[in-house]
Parts: sequence; C-alpha cells; structure tokens
Amino acid sequence: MTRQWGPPLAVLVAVLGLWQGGAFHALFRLRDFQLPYPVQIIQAIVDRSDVLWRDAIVYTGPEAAAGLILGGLLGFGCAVLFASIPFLQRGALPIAASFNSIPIIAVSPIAVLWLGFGQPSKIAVVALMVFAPMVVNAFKGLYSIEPQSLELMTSLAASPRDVFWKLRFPHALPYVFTALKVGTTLAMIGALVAEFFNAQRGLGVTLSTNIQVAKMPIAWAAIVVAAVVGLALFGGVSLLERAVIPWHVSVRARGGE
Amino acid sequence: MRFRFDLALRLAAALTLSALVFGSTATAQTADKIRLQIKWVPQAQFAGYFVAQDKGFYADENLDVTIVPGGPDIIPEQQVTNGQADFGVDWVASFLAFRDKGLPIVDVAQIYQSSGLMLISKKSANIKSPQDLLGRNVGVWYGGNEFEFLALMDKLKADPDKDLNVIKQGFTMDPFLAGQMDAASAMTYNEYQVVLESGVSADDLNVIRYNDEGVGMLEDNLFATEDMVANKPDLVQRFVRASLKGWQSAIDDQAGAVEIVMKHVEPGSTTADHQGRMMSEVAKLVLAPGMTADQIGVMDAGRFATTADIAYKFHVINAPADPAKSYTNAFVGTP
Amino acid sequence: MTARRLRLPDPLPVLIVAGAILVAWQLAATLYFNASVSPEFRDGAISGADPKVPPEMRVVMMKLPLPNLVLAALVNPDNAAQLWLAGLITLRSAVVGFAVGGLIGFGLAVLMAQTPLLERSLLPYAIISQMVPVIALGPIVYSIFKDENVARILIAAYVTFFPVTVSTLKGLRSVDPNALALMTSLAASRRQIYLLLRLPTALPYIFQALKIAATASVIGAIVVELMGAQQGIGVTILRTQYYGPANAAKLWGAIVVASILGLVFFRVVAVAERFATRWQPEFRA
Repeated sequence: MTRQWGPPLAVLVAVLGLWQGGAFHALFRLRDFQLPYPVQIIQAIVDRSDVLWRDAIVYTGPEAAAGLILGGLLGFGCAVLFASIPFLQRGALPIAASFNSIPIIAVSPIAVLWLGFGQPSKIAVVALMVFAPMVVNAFKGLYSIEPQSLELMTSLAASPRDVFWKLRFPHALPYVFTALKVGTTLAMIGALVAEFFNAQRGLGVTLSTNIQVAKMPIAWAAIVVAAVVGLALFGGVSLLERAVIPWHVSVRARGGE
Repeated sequence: MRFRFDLALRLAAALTLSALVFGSTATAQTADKIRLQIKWVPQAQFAGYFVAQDKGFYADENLDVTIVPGGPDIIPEQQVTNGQADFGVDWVASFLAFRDKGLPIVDVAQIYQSSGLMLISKKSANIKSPQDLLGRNVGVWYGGNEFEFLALMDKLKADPDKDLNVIKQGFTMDPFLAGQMDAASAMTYNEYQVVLESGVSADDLNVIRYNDEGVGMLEDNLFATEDMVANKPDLVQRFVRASLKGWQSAIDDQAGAVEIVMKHVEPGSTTADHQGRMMSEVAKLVLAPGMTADQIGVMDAGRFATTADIAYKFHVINAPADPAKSYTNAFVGTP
Repeated sequence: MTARRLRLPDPLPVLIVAGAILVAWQLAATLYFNASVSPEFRDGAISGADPKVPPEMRVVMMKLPLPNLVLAALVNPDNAAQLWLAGLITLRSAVVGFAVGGLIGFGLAVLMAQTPLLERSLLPYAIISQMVPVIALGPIVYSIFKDENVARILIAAYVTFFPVTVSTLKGLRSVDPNALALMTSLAASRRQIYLLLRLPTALPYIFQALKIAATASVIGAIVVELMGAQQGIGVTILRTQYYGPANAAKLWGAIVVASILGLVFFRVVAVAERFATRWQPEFRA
C-alpha cells in the first residue's frame, strides 16, 4: 500500500507545504484573492462540509457518473455500428468526433430548455462531452484488427458473433478504458461548468456564485471537493480496468497497482 | 461592413508611432494606452465609453483606449488587479466584496445612480407583490447580482433556501419564456425589453422593482487600482473626464449613441431598436430624475451607505465598507 | 517493401452522412415545430416579427431549429464575418493550443512512463488539473503571465493536454513484452528500443488522443475567446444567445461552424495518422 500511495502522498504533502508557506505566491507574485492558501480552503471545507459533500455525492458526482455511463454507452454503440459498416467509418466517425467541439456555453442552455434545471440537463451535457472520445477510441479498438487474426478466426469457422465477442471486443477494451479515463475528468468538469448556467444546486453553483464575489476559499473548496470526486471516479475506472482486462500488457506490467 | 476596430486601433497606433518617429511640434506626445474592462458584451449599457471612443473624446485627452468585452468567465476586479486592464466596470456590491478581500481598487466614478434590477412575471403567475413569490420558482442572477434579492427576502422575513425555489439564472431569458420559471430577474434596460420583443406584452407582465421595495443597490461603476489613483491621478482624471463627456453625449444624443454602439455589437444579434430602448432606459439610471448633468458619475454618500449596509448585512463584506477608501469623487462633479 | 498507394479519405462519405443527418433533422424539426406552434403563428415564430406569437412558441426554434433556416443563416453573406471569419479566427487559436497542448501532453507522458514512481506521483495532479475551471484558473494565469497572448495559449493548451497524456501513457505501456525481450536480447540501446518499439506501439494510441485533442482544442480556443476577445466563434455564440430566441438560427449556425472546425481539424490529424502509421491494419486494406 505505501509503495503505491506513498509517492503521490509525499508529493501532496510537499506541494501543500510549499503552498501554505507561500512559495507559489512569492514565486508568481500571487495574492490570496487569486489563489487562497490551503489552510483557508480546508477551513472552508470544514465549515461547509455537509453542503459540499452532499452536493458532491447527491448532485454533481452522480451527474458526472451518469453522464459518463450514458455517453460511454452511446459512444460505444456508435463505434460498433461504424465498425460494422465501412461507409459509416469514413462518413460518420468524423461527424461524431466533431461533437467534441461544441462548447458547453452553447449546449447547456439548450439542454436546460429541453430538460429543465435539474440533473437531467447536466447529465445530457456530460454525455455529449464524453461521447466523442469514446467513439474515436472504441472504434479504433474494434476496427484495427490484424488481418491474420481475422483470417485465423475465419479459418476456424467462427461466426460473426464470435469474431465480435472473442476478437474485436477484447481488442477494443484497452481503448475503451482509455476513453473512460479521459472521460472521467471531462465528466467532472462538464458537470461543474454546466451548473454555472441555469441550475439549482451542486458544486458548480457554489463555485460560480462564490468566485464572483471574492469568496475564494469556498470557491476553491468546491474545486477541491470536485477534484476528489474526479480522482475517485478515475480510480474507480482504473480498478474496473484491472478487473476486466488483467491480461493486457499495460495492466500486467504494473504488477501490484 | 462592420467597423474593423482592431484595424483602426492598429492604424491609430501606427500613426502615433510615426508621429513620434518623424518628430513634430512640441505638443506631440505618445498617447497613453488604456484598457477598459467592461462587465459584459458591448451594448448600450456601456454607451458612454463607446461614444467617448468614437467621437474622439479619449483621443482629445491623449488616450488610446481599448474596450475589452466581458464574458461569463471574466471578473473585472481580477482583470484590473492583475494588470490586464486599467479600469473596470462592475456592480458596487461585488466591487465591495473584492475590496473587502484585499483587492486594492477604488471606485472613481459612479455611473449608474439607481438600480435597474427587477423581478418580472407573467400576469398568469399572479405575482403582484413580493409576498406572492414565496413557494414559487424564481430565477436569480448570482455572482454578485443576488443581494438585492436577498435583501428583499430579508424584508419579507423569508428564507430563500426554504420558502421558495430559487434557480440560478443564466444570461438568457429563454427559460422564462418557455415557462420554466414563475418569476425571473431582469434589467429594465435589457432582459425586460428582450421579453417584450419575444411576444409578451407589457400589459401581461407584473414587475417588482427592487428600488421601489427600498432594497435597490448601486450598480455599474468605474474603478481603478489604488496605485493608479495615487500615482497617476492625471491619467485617471483624463480618462474619467472623457468618459463622462461620452456619457453626457450619449444621453443628449441617444440616436447617435445607438449608431455608435451598433458598430461594436455582434451584427444581427441585436437591433438598433433594442439598443435604442436600452439607451433610453440606461439614460434614466445614469441621469436619474432630479439630477443635473454635472452630477453624472458622482457617488452619493447616502446611496453608497445603503448599498454598503446591505452588503455588510448579507455578509458580502466582513467589515463595514469605509467610504473614504472605497470611492472618491475627486475626479467627477464640478471642480 | 512494395509501395502501396495510400487511399486518402475522400470527403464524399462525410457529405453523404451529413446530408442524411440533415434530412432526418429536417423531418424531426418540422414535426416538432408543427406540433408546438399553431398554424397562425408559424411565420411569426420564425421571423420574430409578429408580436402576438406567444413566447413558448418562439423558444421552439432555440430547442430544435429548422435546418433550412440554419443553412440560410450560414450562407447569408451578412453573417459571413461572425460565422465564417470568426470560425477561421478560432481555428487559428485552436491550432496553436493543440500544438502546445499536444507537446506538453506528450512530454508529460514520456516523463511519467520512465518509472511507475513518477507516474504515481504525477498522474493524480494531471487529473486534478483538469478539474479547475477556467474562471478560477484565468486570474492566476493572467497574473503570472502578464502577456495576454501567452496566457491565452497556455489556457488553451491546458484544455488539450490531458487526453494526449493519458493515451500516450497507455500506448507507451502497451509494448509487447516478447518484442521487448527480443530487442534486449539483441542488445538494443534504450534509445533504439524507444524509437523502434515503444513509439510505434504507442502511435495508434497517440493518434486517437491527437484526434480528440484536435476537437478539444476548438473548445479551448472558444473558452479563451470568452475571456475578452473581440471576435471568434465563441464570441458569436455568446452574443447571439444573449439577445433572445429570435437569433436561434444564427446561434445554431455558429454551433455548426464550431463542429465543422472540429471535423476539419480531426480529418487533418486522421490524414497525418495515415502517413505516420501506414503499417496499421486498417490502412493496409
């Protein structure tokens, strides 16, 4: 355990120490209204812990997680479709990827008009953000198979279903997990920023309302809590990856991760 | 063709540079470069500055002014403090909040004398008085614009978290138009007009004005760093003088001001009519009834006190605001 | 090795699929519009000229606009500057953000791939960095880098580096152990192993990341524009939204332009992938 968690914790302690000591502030000539000190942030977290954690676990976290799952599933489904129909690979894949270029400031208000102020509209925003990385990565994994492997399958009279489940799907999994990992951060920041516009509660609401009235410690407390949730999501996906594809060289090589 | 402001600026800079290089009479000096960070996108809300720029009032004062548009991620107080802008426009409540946390900024002119903020609702929602808001879906702008609402709630002895359903309102009125909110925040000069233009007639709207309820706070100001006020008072004076001249001109010749503003707005996103109505409403807030023209920009001690008291009461600021340090009338009013 | 003629991706399939999407969109939008807006208000709901049109019906265009109107807004010469010129301006920023972000992302991944220790120490911070929204980051970056342009490039890079890091790291770690063993048994130097084995193995992953980063860099450019730029597709989106549902066609036009920027950039990277990794199965067909 210490071997795995030791280094990041050591770095964390060092960073926090430097930060509280004012190293970053001195180095970059920052003031506390641009970047609050760790003690201020921790104080704010403690003061508002019930609200912050409730927002994280009941509102923003679930928005991110649900959006991640929804966007991931949709993305994977489209990837399967595109991999089956070559014409779509050339025609539809770039369009699916281009959804990644639509900014939240455009999507969020429209989502609110359709789905209201609550969580559904934020989940929709997150799903859109996560969709493109998943499509691109999953497609690559499903499609980019060595011809020899395909020939081997056909020579063994494998059915298309076998080819999919025994060859394409496993080959795609490392790519899928890469997309999910990238997706966790997109999902958190997406949920956070979606809550800036037309929302009722959540970490994003706390963040944006406080940052514009100079209440930096509370705003950064919301960021820290969001980061913790994001790390937890990322960690969850990593654990899932180890459970699902323990055979993949990138997972094996690390040994006891 | 849209006025290519960036090209004009480059041309102006090039001309200034050539004037320097080739020498001139004794009066030739390099114009001082100034950046003004406005609170939101260019519109008649900031007409005075655009007029001052377009009509050469800034040039007359030897100033080369860039007006930087605002946006959802821009905090004018931060931009002025970190040197990205020399002057900023924001509402007094958030200005005081940032001062309270140590930002060394000073209000050098109070442009808007009276609050233009209100809550609007369709007649069918039956919200005739503030009391009727309780238990309803109400849109409130946060990020520094929510304190008049909180003061109103306080006046009603209501708890905003429990007694009604507050929604953090974005910067469009679409949710209100779509019926997702019973009451929404609006400015007299913009969102109210947008709603009227979107098919709701004035007869069909109920309006609650924060001013009428006695909880109006001061809004758009003009601020700079303490450092600039202390060390470059002449620069501040020139900028304020030219800006106030711009505001005066905008109020006197509103049609002309609208024409100038239209050069800076996103073409097609708004109409001259809309900006015209905005200009007319803004004029009422800048030159409030009972004021004389030479009082434009002057901070009234009483109105400041009301705003500061509300800010203190709702923990926007932790210490009562010090009028002597928060604002100065040295650059405005009749000398 | 015989030279194989590379089949470059031709634009036709994309256009055909786009056309199909437009047709489906037109059907859905027309059905929705006709269902939501009563006949006497239909013209008014589109033009915004009829004051009697109820507001709920006007908002319909914002929710699902009629594509023919969006296309009309896109080809209207009056809109050319705010849509297409703005798009080019945004694309230029996006390319810069992509380049810087890609380099930083790649460098960070190579660093972390050196030892698991480095990866475990640094990766959490890379993840956390993505959780800080621009509204909090902006004042810090502006304060450190006084130059507005440098600050903007860094903020844009900030948005794009992470997918590149994650994918590159994955790729660098996905080396076939047998191949690695073979190379070591042949006394290959570390540098040789990197150039001949690790990098080629990582390239497919890296290119997926670059494709995503390409599309994300458009967002990065837009986010940066919303911090005070005078022109750009993000600026267009913000301002057309602000003044009400009458501008719905133009707003959606701007959204389409943003997607097109991402699409074009994506294709450019896809073509680069073909050249750089022509040994991959799907390019050998």
